[in-house]
Amino acid sequence: LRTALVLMGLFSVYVVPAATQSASGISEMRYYVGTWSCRGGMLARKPSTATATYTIDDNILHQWVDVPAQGTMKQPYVLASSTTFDAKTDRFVELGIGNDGQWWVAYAKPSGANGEVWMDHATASGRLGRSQTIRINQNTFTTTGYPTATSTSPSFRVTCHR
Amino acid sequence: MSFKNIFGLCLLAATLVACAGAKSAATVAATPTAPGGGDPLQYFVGAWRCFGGPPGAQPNKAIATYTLKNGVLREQLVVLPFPVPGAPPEPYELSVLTSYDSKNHQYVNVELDNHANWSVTYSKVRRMGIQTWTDHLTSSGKHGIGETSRVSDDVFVSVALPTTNRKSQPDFRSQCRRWKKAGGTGTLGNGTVGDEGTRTPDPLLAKQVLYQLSYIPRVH
Repeated sequence: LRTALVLMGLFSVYVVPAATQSASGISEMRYYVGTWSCRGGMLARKPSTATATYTIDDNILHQWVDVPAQGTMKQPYVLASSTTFDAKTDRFVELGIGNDGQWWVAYAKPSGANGEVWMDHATASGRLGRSQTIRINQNTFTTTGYPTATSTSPSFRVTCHR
Repeated sequence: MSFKNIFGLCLLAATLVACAGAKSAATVAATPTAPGGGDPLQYFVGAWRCFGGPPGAQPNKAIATYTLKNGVLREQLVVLPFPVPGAPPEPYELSVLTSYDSKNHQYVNVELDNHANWSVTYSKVRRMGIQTWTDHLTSSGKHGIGETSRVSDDVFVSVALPTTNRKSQPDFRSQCRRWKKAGGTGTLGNGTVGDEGTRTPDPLLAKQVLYQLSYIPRVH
């Protein structure tokens, strides 16, 4: 859509020192590549189902989550995000958006093969939370969300199976 | 895997009061309707061949592929720098996600490239085929303006200003032409190719062709 700015981004690439351009950290995210069946939602509420699909292209992890209309939902919900590794700050950065226009920017430090802790940097609503993803095994992961950066009481949880 | 992974499930969960940063699913609303009906973002769906750059500089070539599903437009823009002898060309990729915020009556655009540069940008509903995007938040802290104009069904052009002062001089221009030929026969970026054949929305194919095209010597 904003191809001008896009290509301007390319231009900026040329002036970034080569040493800062490594993005090998994205390989940590290869675990997620594929299609997952997920179930969960707000705690103490009836769980819902979704399908999450992950691909990696040129050091960007693409996430697409389809939530079919169910329960009281009148239309499907879609959420998409892009994640890459910032070698300059040694952390992952993720930008995402829902089909309601709600967006977020989040960061996560590399944590090996066990999962990630994502901290919101900015959101459309201004509220900043966090989440922790744990890779239980090769075919299952769970994510637990907290309403604030420091809260110890989770507000939602989801489990995904490959 | 991320917070927002469940953020979606959180929304669907019912009723939706909030998980962090979320709002009610009741506000998930349709995008504005195009004059002929349907989603105005549909215009972009497919593959485009683009070229552009700063004024006076050799333009870069790129392929942009758009897909649209349930109100989220996804763009993958792939650029391969002109190869350096003895070194593998490093692809540049930018991922752009766009949807409509009906509560605030604006489009929202999030962009992330494979060098971790990112931006969040807003645009009010377009007028007269021109859509103006204003940076809301960027990784660099610098805010600019982008303007996209739909010249025809098959061509759109973009201009970027380095600041939010609309009187500032553009520091970037680009043009995208709809790609109608899978495995196109012309060179990319001359503005005259790709007018025959069938459209392809296949991003993998787009990348492959772009890769091949990147080895076509530049005309200086």
